[in-house]
Amino acid sequence: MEFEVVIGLEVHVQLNTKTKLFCSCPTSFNEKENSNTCPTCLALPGALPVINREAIHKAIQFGTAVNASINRYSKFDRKNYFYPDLPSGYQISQFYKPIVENGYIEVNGRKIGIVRAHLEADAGKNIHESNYSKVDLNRAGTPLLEIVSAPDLRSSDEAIEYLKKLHSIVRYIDISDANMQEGSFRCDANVSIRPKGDTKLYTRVEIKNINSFRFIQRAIDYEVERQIEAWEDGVYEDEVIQETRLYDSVKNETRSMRGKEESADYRYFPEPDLLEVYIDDETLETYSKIPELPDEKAERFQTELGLSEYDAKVISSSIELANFFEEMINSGASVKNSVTWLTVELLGRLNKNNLPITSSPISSSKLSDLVKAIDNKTISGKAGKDILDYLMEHDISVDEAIEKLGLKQVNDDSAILKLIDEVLSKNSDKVEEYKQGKTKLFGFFVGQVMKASRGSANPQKVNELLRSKLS
Amino acid sequence: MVIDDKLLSKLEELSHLKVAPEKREEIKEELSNILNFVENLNQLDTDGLPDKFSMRDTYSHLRDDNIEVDKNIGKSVVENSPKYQDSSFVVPRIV
Amino acid sequence: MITLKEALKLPKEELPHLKQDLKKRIEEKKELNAYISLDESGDGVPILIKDNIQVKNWSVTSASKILQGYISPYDATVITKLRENGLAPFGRANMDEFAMGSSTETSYYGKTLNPHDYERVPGGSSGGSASAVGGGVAIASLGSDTGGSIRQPASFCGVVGMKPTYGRVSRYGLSAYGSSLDQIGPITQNVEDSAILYDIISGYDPKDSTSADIEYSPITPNLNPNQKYRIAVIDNYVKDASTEIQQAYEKTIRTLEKLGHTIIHKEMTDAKYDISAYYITAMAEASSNLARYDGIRYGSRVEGENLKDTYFRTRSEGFGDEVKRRILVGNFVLSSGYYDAYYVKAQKVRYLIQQKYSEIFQDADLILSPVSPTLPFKFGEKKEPLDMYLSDIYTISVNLAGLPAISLPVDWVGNLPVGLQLIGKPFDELNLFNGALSLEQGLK
Repeated sequence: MEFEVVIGLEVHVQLNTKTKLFCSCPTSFNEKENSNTCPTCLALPGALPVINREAIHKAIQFGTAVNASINRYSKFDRKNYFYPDLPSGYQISQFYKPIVENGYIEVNGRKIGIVRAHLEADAGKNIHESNYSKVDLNRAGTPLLEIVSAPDLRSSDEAIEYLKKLHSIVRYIDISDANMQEGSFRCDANVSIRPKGDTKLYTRVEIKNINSFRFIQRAIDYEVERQIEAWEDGVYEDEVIQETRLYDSVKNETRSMRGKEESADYRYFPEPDLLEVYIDDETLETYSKIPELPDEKAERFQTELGLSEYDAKVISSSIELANFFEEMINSGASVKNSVTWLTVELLGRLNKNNLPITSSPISSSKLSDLVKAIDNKTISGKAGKDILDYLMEHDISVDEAIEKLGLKQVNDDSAILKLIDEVLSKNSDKVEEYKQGKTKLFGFFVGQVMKASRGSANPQKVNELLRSKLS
Repeated sequence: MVIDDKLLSKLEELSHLKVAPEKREEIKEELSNILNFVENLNQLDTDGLPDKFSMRDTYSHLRDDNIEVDKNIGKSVVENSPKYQDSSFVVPRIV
Repeated sequence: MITLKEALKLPKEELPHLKQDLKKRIEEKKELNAYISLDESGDGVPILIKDNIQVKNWSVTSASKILQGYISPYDATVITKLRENGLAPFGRANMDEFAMGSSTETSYYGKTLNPHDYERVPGGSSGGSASAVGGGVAIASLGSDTGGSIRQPASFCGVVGMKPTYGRVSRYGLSAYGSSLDQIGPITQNVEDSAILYDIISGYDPKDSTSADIEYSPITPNLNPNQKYRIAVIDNYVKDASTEIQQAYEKTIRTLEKLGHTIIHKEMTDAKYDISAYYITAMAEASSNLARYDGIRYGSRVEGENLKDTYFRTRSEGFGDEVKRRILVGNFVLSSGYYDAYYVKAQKVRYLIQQKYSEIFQDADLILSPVSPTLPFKFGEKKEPLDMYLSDIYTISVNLAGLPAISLPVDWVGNLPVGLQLIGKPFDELNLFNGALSLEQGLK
């Protein structure tokens, strides 16, 4: 039997507002435990929530970026459960009427639905020691935007593409740092299978809190296989139940959460300490303004700058990369060489050292200087690679590097002719053979001239001048 | 509505508290009486009525994103809490 | 006892003497058990504060075991306002645990006595506040009213108790019980004092999102006891009250007529529905509001064998029986499968009640209503929880509709006071106070 995979993804994005969702405590991290707290986020008796307008702003920006409807009226609800990192014993979320609904993003030409995006308060942090746990509420109350996709994804590859696109959009509009390792971009996957062609939705299993794209893919793949196996072995009903499972990245498997009782009853009801949220026309217009999105940028790179679709997509895949590229172009570096030297040469070296573009030792202006030196033939392409390697390790300017490595390209005709004369006179027998018809020797002469110049002669000039000399 | 043992146990779980064993029967009866009474609302026709009561046609005030924090509050709450270590609240190991 | 109005006129130097005198009186009548403790904070005219209103550095416990050890690190907005107006929090007033009750019999600190008859309850949940003012051991007090908790004890203790329109006074710093019903209000010796204290604590507070952002004009300088009103009396209500209450009611109507007010006759929906809508709403909200009391960050903790056990033991031993009952019922009406039939239904009935009041207020400026169906009852008399709830029939619909109301003493039966309440239109406190002042003067 052939099976189809049905995947839906829930992503919690921590918004980069200055203050928390319902109080004016700072959201900044890495501070002494429980120092960024107040009666509201500590859930002291008598404390009350007040909504942060910037969180509403960022939610609306997101809705606009994913072609969604912005609900002019939305409201907050309480989700009730007990956990030490949830000081009030309920989370204020949006269950009945979220602020954003019915959007989509395009992934490889397919529209993946975004059912809703809603605001909710983050919980604090639990740190586990050997036989006790510690609770730090600095993070409690930080605004989260929970983004729920429709179960439209059909493979783990597609799921990762969706996540990357979503991540890119969130970074483009700058509503979050979206750092998976730090926990500002958290993904839960809902996975189910069905016989190919069947349209029913079968039991879905939730896999929670996996903190890298690679692990998400592996977790989904494992879970799909587990479910298919269960079906084929006739034990689907027993083995595959609606539950939450955790992914073990060491053993590469998903595991049932131990001691899980029947699904929690959250007793959602409208938050009585808040009134409904209303977005008027003026606010909607102002809050919907967003910068150019990845797809638009890619489109523009193709039409205005002549980039290929592939190159445009690579460069626009992250706002940092796109900004890097645009800075290079704006300072005068040629488009063609900028594309190559950024996407192939620099990224290649960064990837080898597991560095993201944001940690590049070479800034956009420095790479631009290098490209401009190649553009105006101050150095050859080969020399450029050597210089780039050197700059990865040494913090000096491009000019200084060229000087230091002695890689300045010789363009001067007379200097090159001098070298050509030297080589030809030293190899007069071969010149004779060439004139007799052994045209292959041309490459040999070029090589010798380049060698004599220690690679610094402009190869095109060498070609031109040698040709005219030998004719 | 009759509250039986099973329902009472479920409510205790949701409430994270337990009724003393000797009071269980009494509580079940008291809760059943209360719920039976409040079911009188079924005598009223409420079709089509709004389900959120509010005093006025206004909406939530939105606060500007400006930091205001008194670091002494967190400090004094932690230092006055039943169990703490350094600056964190301490609870039995969360499994 | 000096009135609030007089005390505010005293030169600053005399206040310490005033406080000394007050402490002496409190000590002399300490059997009342109206004061939990004699905390002080600031130099102004001393005001007794119900134990569920946050005062910085005080142990504010909602008269519960579970909050023993908690020290509040902040002032409620109303306390800040007191301080800004020459008043100072002075003493924590006893109350029913977490404001759940009508007799102050459920307090962790033991019961408070009715100053006029020590065998009878002072009412609740603001029993300490009302008993102290009625017993001459407080100049004035702040209480809270969710279903009548200011007005009923005021009536039982022979003093004036006022509940503002929902949203008029900030709830920031009031330990929440029924969030959509709670209001803080003054309990005082007379109507004018009530207006003075009301003016001081009222006004929009951006820290409370349910606070009404409307312009505020002080009542006190504009009080006019000579204004004449159309006052509605609710015929189908009064017939369920005791004879004494009915007689007091009739007497008051005659007084009002003599004063020149017009009495019109109206009917309200059967109060049994009010009780249901109220208790469903209040218990649901309370079950959620009290989830924060877990002994982790503050209050008293009972260590268990593991985390869950700690939660259960802390809450089982920390909450009294009535509080537990309400949390259990509250969780029931919010739980999956029952939410629509109970909680949502109750909100729709609230809308009906609000509509009914609006209808009456098309014709009337004020409504005259009983506060309690009986005279103050004896300790232990209301054994069944439901009996206690049914004693709230006259006060709770006011909270369900968010209206302002004021309870004042109108008669005496032997040594027991009888109070009645006037109910006003939303945010129309000036006319409410005018009517009350007129009645108070007419009864002299």
